Amino acid sequence: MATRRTNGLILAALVVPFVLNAAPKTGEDFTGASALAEKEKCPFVIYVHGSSWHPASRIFREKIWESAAFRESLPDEVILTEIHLGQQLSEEEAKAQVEKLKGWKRGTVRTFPAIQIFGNDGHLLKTIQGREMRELVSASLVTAEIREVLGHAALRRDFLAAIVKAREEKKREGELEALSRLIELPLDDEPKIIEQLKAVDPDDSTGWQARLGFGNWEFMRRVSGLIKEGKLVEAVTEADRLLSVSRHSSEQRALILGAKAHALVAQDQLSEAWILFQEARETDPDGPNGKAIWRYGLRVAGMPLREILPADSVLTGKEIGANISRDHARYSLSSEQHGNPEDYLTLMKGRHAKGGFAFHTAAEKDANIVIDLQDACEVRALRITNRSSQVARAESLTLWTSSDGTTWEKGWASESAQPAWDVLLKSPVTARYLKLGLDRKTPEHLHLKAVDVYGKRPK
Amino acid sequence: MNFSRKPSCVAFGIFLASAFLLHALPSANELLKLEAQKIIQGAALEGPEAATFSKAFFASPDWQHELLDSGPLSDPSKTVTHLFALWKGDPDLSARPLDRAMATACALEGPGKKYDSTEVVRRYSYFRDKWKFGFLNAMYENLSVFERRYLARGVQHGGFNSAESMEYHNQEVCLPSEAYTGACWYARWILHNPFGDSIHGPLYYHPFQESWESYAEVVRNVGGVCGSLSNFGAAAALANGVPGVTMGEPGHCAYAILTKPGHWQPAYSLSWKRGLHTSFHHGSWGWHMLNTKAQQDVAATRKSADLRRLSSYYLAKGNVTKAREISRVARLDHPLAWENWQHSVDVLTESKAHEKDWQELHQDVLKMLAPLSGEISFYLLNKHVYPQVLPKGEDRSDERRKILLSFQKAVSDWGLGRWDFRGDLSKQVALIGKESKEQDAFIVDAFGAHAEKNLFTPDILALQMERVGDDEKRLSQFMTAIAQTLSKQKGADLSNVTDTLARTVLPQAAKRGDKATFQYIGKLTSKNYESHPISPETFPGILLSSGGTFGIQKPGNRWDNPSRHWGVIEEHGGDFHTDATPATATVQLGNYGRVTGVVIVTRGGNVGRLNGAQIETSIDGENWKSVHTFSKVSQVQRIDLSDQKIDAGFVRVIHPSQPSLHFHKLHVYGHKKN
Repeated sequence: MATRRTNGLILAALVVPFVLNAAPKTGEDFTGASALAEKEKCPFVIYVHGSSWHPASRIFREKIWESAAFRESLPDEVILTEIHLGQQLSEEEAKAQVEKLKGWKRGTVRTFPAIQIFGNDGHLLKTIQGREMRELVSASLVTAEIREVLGHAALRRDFLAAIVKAREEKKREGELEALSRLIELPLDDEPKIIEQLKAVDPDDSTGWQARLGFGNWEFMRRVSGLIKEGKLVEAVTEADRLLSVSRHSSEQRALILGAKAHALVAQDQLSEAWILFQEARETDPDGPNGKAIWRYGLRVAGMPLREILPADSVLTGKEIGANISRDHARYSLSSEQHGNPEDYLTLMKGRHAKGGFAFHTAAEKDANIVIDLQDACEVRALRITNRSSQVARAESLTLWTSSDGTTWEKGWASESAQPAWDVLLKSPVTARYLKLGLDRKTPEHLHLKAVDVYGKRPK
Repeated sequence: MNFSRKPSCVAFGIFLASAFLLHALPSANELLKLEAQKIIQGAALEGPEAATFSKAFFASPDWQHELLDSGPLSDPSKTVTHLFALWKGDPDLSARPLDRAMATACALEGPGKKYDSTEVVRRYSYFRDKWKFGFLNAMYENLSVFERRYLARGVQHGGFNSAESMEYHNQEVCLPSEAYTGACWYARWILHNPFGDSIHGPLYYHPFQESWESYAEVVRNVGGVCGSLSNFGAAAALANGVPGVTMGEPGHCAYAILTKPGHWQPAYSLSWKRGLHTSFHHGSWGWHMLNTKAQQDVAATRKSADLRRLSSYYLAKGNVTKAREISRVARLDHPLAWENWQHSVDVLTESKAHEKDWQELHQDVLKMLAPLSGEISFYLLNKHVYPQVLPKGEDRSDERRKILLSFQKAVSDWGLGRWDFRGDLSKQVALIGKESKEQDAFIVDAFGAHAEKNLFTPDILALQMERVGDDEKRLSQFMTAIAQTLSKQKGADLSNVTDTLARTVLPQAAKRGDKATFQYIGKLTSKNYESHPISPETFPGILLSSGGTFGIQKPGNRWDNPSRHWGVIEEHGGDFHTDATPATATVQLGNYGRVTGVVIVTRGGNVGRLNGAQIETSIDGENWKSVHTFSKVSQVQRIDLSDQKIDAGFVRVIHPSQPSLHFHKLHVYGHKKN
């Protein structure tokens, strides 16, 4: 955990392995360091901090940043400086601070402290801040981090030179190759990189323009907008177009898959959408995009298709077998009242009925439904979803099982009214018929939203 | 505003010491301990460590003060139970003042937020450890226990108070204290999530709950609207040891940050009507400021609490005179502390005090509390004092009027924070009696009391306009009374108040067609602005518009000052600026007559806006006839209408396709036909 690491910051700072080097030069402030870097043609590194109001920043500065161990371990062709941002400044102090920080972009640092590494051309290569910064608990770790960026900075210089040369020689392929290598570096984006790519590769043969220009969640917003406008085909086509580009990162691809699935759900093509949601998850299993798409897919496709149990179900992770009711079972009612025949099928398949229940019996004694699994099956568990309202009416809900539809054996009884019941049978029961009914002395309506039976069908 | 205390601390100390020494009373620390014992016993702590905890607690008067005198205890037993749990986990905290203060704050806030002891301990441990390793703002070191209560409580949205969210904020939004007022914008304002689900439903954050490690990070990446953003900003400050609080505003959620000692800065705030989500006694901004100022002076707070304990001691012993006397010393010594005023009320109530004691409290409120906060002083008066000091009976309304007016005279500014003055005035009006005549007279008195400063007069007028409604006679009487009141205030600069009066009254009078009021108030206000220098050639007849009314659509918009509307139709000249399409400026003529011509002097700039506008005339103000369309305009327009033989009671200029007309003069000439 980061906290534990940071807690060791002070101690670790005192015992620093380092490599002897000539000390790097220092710039008085941002302007000075940046001018010196341009003159000497070398990168510069800034420690941005609030030591006067943030004790950990002060400790880092004293124990690491200003330590000989740190400075001597850096290559000498780097310039160091620092920026201190004060707190609760008077008007005059604030003005002086603004003056001192001229040229530096405050918005490039979102949290304190931070280390910023700039190229000799003043381009910001990387900002180390937040969690990443907290993990730098020793001079050697800071040095290693900076050295890695400086290594990439050296490659960047080479690629930039190659780009210039290729342009001079009008070698488009060479320029595109160098641009591609430049983009692959784990550094902050180059200015106007897409425009540069467009000039040399108008058809985006590399796919870099699609990748760099991809709007991430804005793309999902766009698809949602198209869905809202009823432009469902356009939404799918746009997603397909992007899916044809192989350059996208896995995070981006998961999003595009999710967006297409989102559009398919709007067209009620749940099965097709469900396949895409699963593909998105496989594409980006640990990233925030993949996780979000998966959770969304579970709600809008997985659960309506009865493919997946809700996360809070006690049946999740249990050996309950497959859904054996969805594609096979039929059911009959003891009576019918207030129900909508179009909703009957939603009891075991597809989206839940909008009215909140799939069927509705009359108020009667022993109100029930009989589910015919169409074959003798091994029944292990049920998930029974109550009507959205009038939940209490199902308080005495009871399950009976039967092989012949005549002789019934009680298998489970509700202890109280619930929004849903996860019923894990004590041991598997072989049955073709399941009766779900109210076991009470007075008449009552029975109305349920969904019943999913899990177990094993005979081969 | 001066918050200095009288009598001085030294004098007060001598008083207190003499009270204890000369009368062989329990000492302040003994009384403190007695009160502390009461709540410790009430908690009925169990286990072998209970005695050791009590010993440590009672060995430290500072700790006892921290617990008892750092704002209200909503549930003393639970607070003590939490404090015991905190101490059990970290027995040495009693010897570390800073950690002890934080632990006490956590114990104090546990019950209000319904935290169990595990959560209370977690929050305390977070702040203790973060401070130990330097990861909190330096401000944290000098916070009072009272200020720490904001840290201990957390924000309104529970997800931000989790360990993961606090860690995220500590690492990713670590800023100088004043920068937290902008931290809400780390998250994007967006009503629908990328899937199109609204934030007002349950699905907005649902897909993202497992994408990041904390709720704070989810909000940072997904966005939200004012509620999420304000909670994000305030929670970021808290996680870094800077007190912050979220607050509700009409249709909005905002927050505030303690950017420097004693200074709370509202953030993302759109209104003064704020209800704080962590509040003590009451939730408005004024109460928040009062508590903050009171608790800032820790020594004074503790001393006045000592006095309250002494007063309670006397009361328990049956010495009501001393109890009242000492409660008065407390409130006069530290009037910012609400507890002192509440204690005075409690003592007077419990001791069945005479009316003169309540009158003394009334006078103290007016003298000591009203200058600090009109809101809180009125709350106290209305709830506790008026029922005791206001004479009852229909025939005693004059006496009530004087007493109620004394509050108006005691309040001269918003004090610690703007409040609902109009609402409180309305309550006072109701206390006068049932006669609307007497109520109106009181409002005139209140207007007179505030005329020169002109701070509360818009509220007073707004209330009275609402009360009067369409009753023209009553309005006319009110205006006459206001004029008389103002004329009595010789030597005072009343230009501001007449301006305010005109801004409110002129548009309403024009709307009603009330020429008398429009002319009276218009003339009164015309002294406040220069006559317009351009006087174009007139048309035959008299100035028919003079003596009438003039109105526009959306009077008082950002470019318009209605107090100058009168001058537009008079020789004096004035100005107006419309801000709605179709732009409309309507004159109800002072005299019905045969129109000979219209003279317009427009504002110097944007003269061309008049192109395309039309002059329309009407006999009744409802049926209009177009008589001229403007083109190729200049600043001065003279439209000769003598050939058209128009009889009119109303003339208007209307532009059908743009919102802005702005004249200095709109003069209608003709022959009177009344």
